[in-house]
Amino acid sequence: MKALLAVVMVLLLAGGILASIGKQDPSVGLSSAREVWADVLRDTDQIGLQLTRIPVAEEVQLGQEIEAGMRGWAAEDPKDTKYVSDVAALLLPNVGRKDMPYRFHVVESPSINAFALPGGHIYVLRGMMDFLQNEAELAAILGHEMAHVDLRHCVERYQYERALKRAGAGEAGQMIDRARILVTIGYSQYQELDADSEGARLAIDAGYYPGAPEAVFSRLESLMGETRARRETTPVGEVTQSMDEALMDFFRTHPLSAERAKSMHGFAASHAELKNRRFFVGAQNYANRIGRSASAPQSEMKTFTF
Amino acid sequence: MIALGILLVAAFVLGPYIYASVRVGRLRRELEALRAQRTDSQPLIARIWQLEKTVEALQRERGGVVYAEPPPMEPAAAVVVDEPVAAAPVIEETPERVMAAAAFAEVALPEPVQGVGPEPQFVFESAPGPSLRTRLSSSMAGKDWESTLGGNWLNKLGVLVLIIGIGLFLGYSFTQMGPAGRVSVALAVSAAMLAAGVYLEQKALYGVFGRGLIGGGWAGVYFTTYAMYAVDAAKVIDNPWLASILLLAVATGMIGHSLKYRSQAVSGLAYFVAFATLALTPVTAFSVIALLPLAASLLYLAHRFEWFKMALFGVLATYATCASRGDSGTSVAAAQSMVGAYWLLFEIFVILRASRKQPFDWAEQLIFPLNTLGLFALSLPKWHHTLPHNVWIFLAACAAVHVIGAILRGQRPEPRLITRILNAGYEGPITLAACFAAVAIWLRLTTVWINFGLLVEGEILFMAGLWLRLLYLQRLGAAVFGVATAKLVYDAPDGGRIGRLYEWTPVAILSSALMYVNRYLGSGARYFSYGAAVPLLLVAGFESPAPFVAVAWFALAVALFEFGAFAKLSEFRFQSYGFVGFAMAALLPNNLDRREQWIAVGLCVLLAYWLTLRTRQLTGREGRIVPLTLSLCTTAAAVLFVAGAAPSRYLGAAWLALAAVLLELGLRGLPRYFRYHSYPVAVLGWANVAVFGLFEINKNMPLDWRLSIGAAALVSYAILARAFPIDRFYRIAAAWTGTTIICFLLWSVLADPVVAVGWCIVGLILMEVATLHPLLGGLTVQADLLSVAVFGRLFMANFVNMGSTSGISHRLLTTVPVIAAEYYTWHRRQGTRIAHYYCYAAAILVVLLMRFELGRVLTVTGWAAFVLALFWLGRSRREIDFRLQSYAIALLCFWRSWTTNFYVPDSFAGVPGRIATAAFVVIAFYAAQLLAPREPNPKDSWPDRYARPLFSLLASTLVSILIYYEIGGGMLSVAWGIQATCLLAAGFWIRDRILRLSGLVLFLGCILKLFLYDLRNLETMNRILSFIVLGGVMVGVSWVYSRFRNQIQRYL
Repeated sequence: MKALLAVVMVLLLAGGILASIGKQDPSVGLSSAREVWADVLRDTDQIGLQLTRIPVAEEVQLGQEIEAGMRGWAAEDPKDTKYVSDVAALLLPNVGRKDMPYRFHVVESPSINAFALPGGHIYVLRGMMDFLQNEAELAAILGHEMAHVDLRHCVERYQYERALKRAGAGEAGQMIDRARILVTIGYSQYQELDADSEGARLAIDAGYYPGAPEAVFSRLESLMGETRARRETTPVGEVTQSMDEALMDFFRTHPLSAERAKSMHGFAASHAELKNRRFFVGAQNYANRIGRSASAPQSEMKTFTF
Repeated sequence: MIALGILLVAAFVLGPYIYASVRVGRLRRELEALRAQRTDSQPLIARIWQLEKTVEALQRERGGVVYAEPPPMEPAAAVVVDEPVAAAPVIEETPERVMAAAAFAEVALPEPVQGVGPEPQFVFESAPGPSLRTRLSSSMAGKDWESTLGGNWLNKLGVLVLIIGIGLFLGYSFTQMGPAGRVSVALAVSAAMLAAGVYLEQKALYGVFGRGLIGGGWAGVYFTTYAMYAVDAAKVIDNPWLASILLLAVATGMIGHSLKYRSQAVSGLAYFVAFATLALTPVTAFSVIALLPLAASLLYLAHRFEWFKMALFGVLATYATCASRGDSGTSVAAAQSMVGAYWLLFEIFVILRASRKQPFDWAEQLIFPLNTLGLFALSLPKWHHTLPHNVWIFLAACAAVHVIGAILRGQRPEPRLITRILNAGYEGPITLAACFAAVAIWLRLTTVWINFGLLVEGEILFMAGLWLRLLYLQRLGAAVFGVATAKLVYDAPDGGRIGRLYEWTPVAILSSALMYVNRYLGSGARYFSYGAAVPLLLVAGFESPAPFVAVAWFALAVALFEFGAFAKLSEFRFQSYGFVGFAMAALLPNNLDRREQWIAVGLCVLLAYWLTLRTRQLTGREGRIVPLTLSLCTTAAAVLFVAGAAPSRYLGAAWLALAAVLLELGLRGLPRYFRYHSYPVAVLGWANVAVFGLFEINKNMPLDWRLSIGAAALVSYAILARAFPIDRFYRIAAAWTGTTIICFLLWSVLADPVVAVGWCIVGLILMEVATLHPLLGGLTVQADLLSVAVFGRLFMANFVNMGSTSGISHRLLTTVPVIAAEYYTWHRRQGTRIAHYYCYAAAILVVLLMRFELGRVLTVTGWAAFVLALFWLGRSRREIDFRLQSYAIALLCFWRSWTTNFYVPDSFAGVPGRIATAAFVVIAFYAAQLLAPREPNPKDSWPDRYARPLFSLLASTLVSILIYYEIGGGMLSVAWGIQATCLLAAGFWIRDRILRLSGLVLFLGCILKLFLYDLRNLETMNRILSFIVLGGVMVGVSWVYSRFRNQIQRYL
C-alpha cells in the first residue's frame, strides 16, 4: 500500500511540477461544465432531429420561401455577388451535402455580418465585405456560413415545426419550436464553433490561408470591444466571476470573438501538416473583386506558420 | 414685624410636630417599660386573667354587665368596653360607665397591661401591639388632643402674643405716654399676668392655663426691665450696671419662681418670651450681653432639673436671637468674643453633662452640634466679610478649642461610635477639630504644602492615637491621610504643570512612606498600607514613560506580592492585584496602537506570568480566583505583545503560535488555565488569518504574506498534533482551519491547473494521517470534502486549460494523477461506503478527461476503450462498480456515437471520422461481449446477467446505424442484409446466440423495409437489386440452418 501511495504521490508531484513549468493558460471558469451541459443538450436534441429530418428538396423549398420574403429587405450587388459566388465555388467541392444548391447574395447593409438560410442561401452584408481585407478571410466567412448549412444548423430549427405540421399539430409545433430554442440556446455557441472549424476546413482545403479566420475574429474583437472582464485574483472573486460568465455565456448565441479567434488558433495549430505550406491570401484579388485564378501570383501567397 | 410673623408661623407649624414627637417618644418609652415589666408579670397576669374570667362568670350568672374579652392584639382592650354579647342586656355606653370600667380595670390590673391578650402564656410573647402611629392617631382623634390644643397651646401662644405686644408697646414712641408710663403699663400688665397665673395655677381646672400666664408674666417683667435701659422709648435707667443688676434680679426671680413649679413648660415659656423680646428690641451691646445671663440661667435650670429640651431651646434661642440682629458693625474681636462666650457657655453645659457619664437625652445630643453650628453661622460671615484672608485663624482657633473640648470630655463607655459622639464623647469635637484644622491648612497653604500640612496633621492625630491607644484617633489620622492622598490624586493630572518631579512626587513619596511607617507602627492599620499604595501607583504612573507605565505597575505588583508573601501580610497581595488591574488598564491605551513599544508589553507579559506562577501556591478562594485572573491578564498582555511585536502580515500566525505556547503551558499545568485561554487566542489568530489572509488572498500577493499564511497552517497542524488526544476543540478546530488555510495558500501559490493537484496531495496526506490514530478519524471527512473540491476545481481550471508542457496538455498532466489518487483512495478505503464515491468520481473524471482531451469526435474511442478496461477489471477483480460503470459508459458511448460522431465531417488519415470511431467502438463492444460470460450466473446482479446481450446489441445496432448513414438509398437493405449474414456467421462461429438472433432480427427488419419502403420509394434498379440480394442471402442462410440442423441444434 505504501508503494502504491508513493507512486500516486510521485505522479501527483510530477504532474504538478510539469504543469507548473510549461506554458500557462490563465483562463479559469465554468466553460467546461457549460460545454458538458451543451453536449448533453445537443446529443439529446439530435435524437429528435434525426427522427424529424426533412429531405433536401423540402429544405430547398423552405429556403426559397424565406429568401422570397427577404427580397425587398436590401438591394443586392450583382458584381460582388458574382465575386463571392466565384470564391465559394472553390469551397463547394469539399462540402458534405453535395446535393445542396447553394446561392450567394451580397446585399447593401452596413452591418458587419453574414448569415445562412436553409436550402443553401448565403448572405454577406456590405459591412462585412468592407470589413474583410482579403479573399482568404472572405473564404473563411463563406466557409463558416456554408458549414451551418452543411451541418444542418439552419434547417434544424424548422424540423420539429414542420414535422408536427405534417402530423396536423401546427400550433403545438410552434410551441415546441419555442421550447427547443431554449434548449438550443445552451449549445448554439458550440454550433458556431463547429461552423468555424468546418468553415476553416473548407477554406483551407480550397487553398486559402489557415490564419485568415483567426485574423478576422481578432479584428472583430478589437472592433466590437468584446473583452472578458479582468480576471479576479481572489478565490471568491474567481468563483463569482466564473458563475457570472457562465450565466451570461449561456444566453449568448455567439461566442465572444476572442474565444473564436483562440479556437481558430487552436484549430490551425492542431493541424501540423499545414505548417510551412504556402496558401492563398488574395488581398489584391479581394480589393479588385477578381476571383482567384489557377496561377496566383506569389505576392498573393503566404507561408503558414504558428 | 417680619420676624414676629416668622416666629408665629414657625410656632404654628412646628408646634404640633414637636408635640407629636414628644408624645411619641414618651409613649415609646412607656411601651418599653411595660414590655420589661411584662415578662416579670406573666404569672400574675395569668392569675388575674383567671380571676377576671371568674368575675365575668359570676356577673353573667347575676345578669350583670358583661365586658367583652379584650382582643388578643389590642393592648388597650383591657380598659375599653366592647359591645356586649347578644344574650346580655345592652347597656348604653356613657362616660360614667367608661370611667367605671376603667376604674375596674385599674383595680383588676395593678400593672399596665398593654399588649396583654387572653392567652398570656403565649400571646404575651408573640403578639405585637398596635403601632405607635395607630396609637398616636387614636389619641389625637379623641378629646385628649383637643384639650391639649385648646387648654395648653392656645394659652401659651396667647401669652406669647401678649408679651410681644408688650414689647412692641414699649418700643413704640408715641407722645401720649412717656418712658416711665410705658414701663409702668408694661410692668403692670406683666405683673397682672403673673398674679393671675399664680392664682389660677392653684385651681385644678386652670392649672395649665395659669402656668402659661405665669410664664408670660415673667417674660413681660424681664423684657420690661430690659427695656428700661435698652429701649429708647422706655428708657428710664441710664446706668448699665443698674440695668444689669435689675435684669439679673428679674432672671433670678423668674428662675426661683419656676423652681417652685418644677415645670419645664413654665420656665421654657418664660425664657422663650425673654429671648423673643430681646430679638425684637433694637440692637445694642447691652442686648447682646443680656443674652448671656439669660442663657446662663437657662442652662443652670436645665442642668439642675435635667430640662434638656429647655437647654436645646436655649441654644436655638440664643443663636437665633443673635442672628436676627444681624451684623451690628462691631469689630471682629468683639463680635467673636461674644459669640465665643455663647459657645463656651453651652460647651461648658455639655461638658458638665458629659461628666456624669450617663446617656444623653435626644435634646442633649443636639446641643453640641447646634452650638458648633451656631458658632460658625455667626462667626464665619463676619470673618469672611471683614478678614477674608484670615479665616484660617478662626478655623485654627476653632480646632484648638475643640481639641480642648475633646480632652475635657474624655472617653465614653458606649460601644458604638455614633452613640459615643452623641453622648458627648471626645470623638465629636476631635473630629471637628481635625476638619477645622484641615480646612485651615487648605486655606493657609498652597500647592503641595497643603499635602504636607495635611500629612503633618494626620501624623499627629495618628501618633496621638497610638500614644493614647485611641483607635478612633488613629483612624481619624488615617482619614486625614486619605484627604491628603485624594488631593494628591486630584493634583496628579496637573503634576507636570506644578513641577511634578520636584514638588508633587516628593510629597507623594513622603505620603507613601509615612503611611507605610504608620502601617508598621499600627499593627491593625491596614488601611495605611492601602493608602500608601495610591501615591506609589501615581508616582510610578507619572514618572514612568507612557509605554512603561504598565511595566512599572507590574513591577510594583510583583514587589508588593513578594513582600506580602514574605511578611505574610495579605493586604500587600491584594495591593499587588490592584496594581495588576491598573497595569492592564494602562496597557490598552498606552500600548495598543504603538507597535514599537512591544518591548514594554513583553516585560509586562513576563512580570504577569511571574505573578501567575507565584500565585499558584495560594489556597482557598483566593487560590482559585487569583491565578485564573492573573493568567487571563498574562494572556491578554501576551496577545497585545504579539500584536505589537509581530509584523501585521504575520499577526495571525503569531497569535496561533501564542495559542500553541499557551496550550503547552496549560497542558503542563503552568497553570492549567492557559489551555483554555489558548482557545480564544487561537480563534483570534484564525480570524486574523481569515480576514486579512484568506479573504485578501490572491495570486499576486507578496511572498512573505504567503509565508505567513503557511506558517499559520503549520502552527494549526502543530496544535492539532499536540492536542488531539485530549482536546476535542483543537481536534476539530485546528484540523479544519489548518486544512482550510493550506488549501487557500495552495490556491494562491500554485498555477491554476496545479491547484487541484495540490489539494489532492493534501487530501491524501490527511487520509493517511487519519489512519494513524482513531481520534484522527475526522480528517477523513476533510479528505472527502477536499476530493469534492478537487472535482470542482478540475471543472473550473483544468478541463478547458490550454496550457501545455512539451506538447502534453496540462489537463492531462494534472487530471491523470488526480484520477490515480482517486483510485488509490478508493482502494485504500475499500469496505467503506465512501469508497464507492471515489470509484465513480474517478470514472467520471476519466470520461470527462477523454471528452476534453480527445475532442468531440475521438472521445467515443477513449470511452470505448475505457468500457473494455472497466469491464475486464470488473470481471477479473470482481468489482461490480467497475462493471456497472462499464455498462453506463457503454450506453453513453453508443449515444454519443450516434448523436455526434455520425454527423461530424472530421476525418482521420482519409477515413471519415464517423467510420473510424464507430469501428473502434464496435470492436470494443464486441470484445467486451466476448469477455462477458456466455451463461450468466443467477447470483449475478441483473445488469451483469444482461452484460453480454447489452454489448452485443449496442455494437450491432451501431453498425446498422452507421450503415444507414453511410450507404443509405437503394443499397441500404442489401447492406443490412449483409450485416445480418455476418452476424449470423459470427454467431455460429463463436457460438453466440445473441449475434445469431441479432442477425435474424436484422433480416426481418430488412424484409419489412423491402415491403414497406423499398417497394415504393427506391428506384427500380435498386429495388430489384435489394430484393434479389437480400432474398439470396436469406435463402442461403435458410439453407445453412437446414443443412446443419443437427449441429445448429447443439449450438442452440
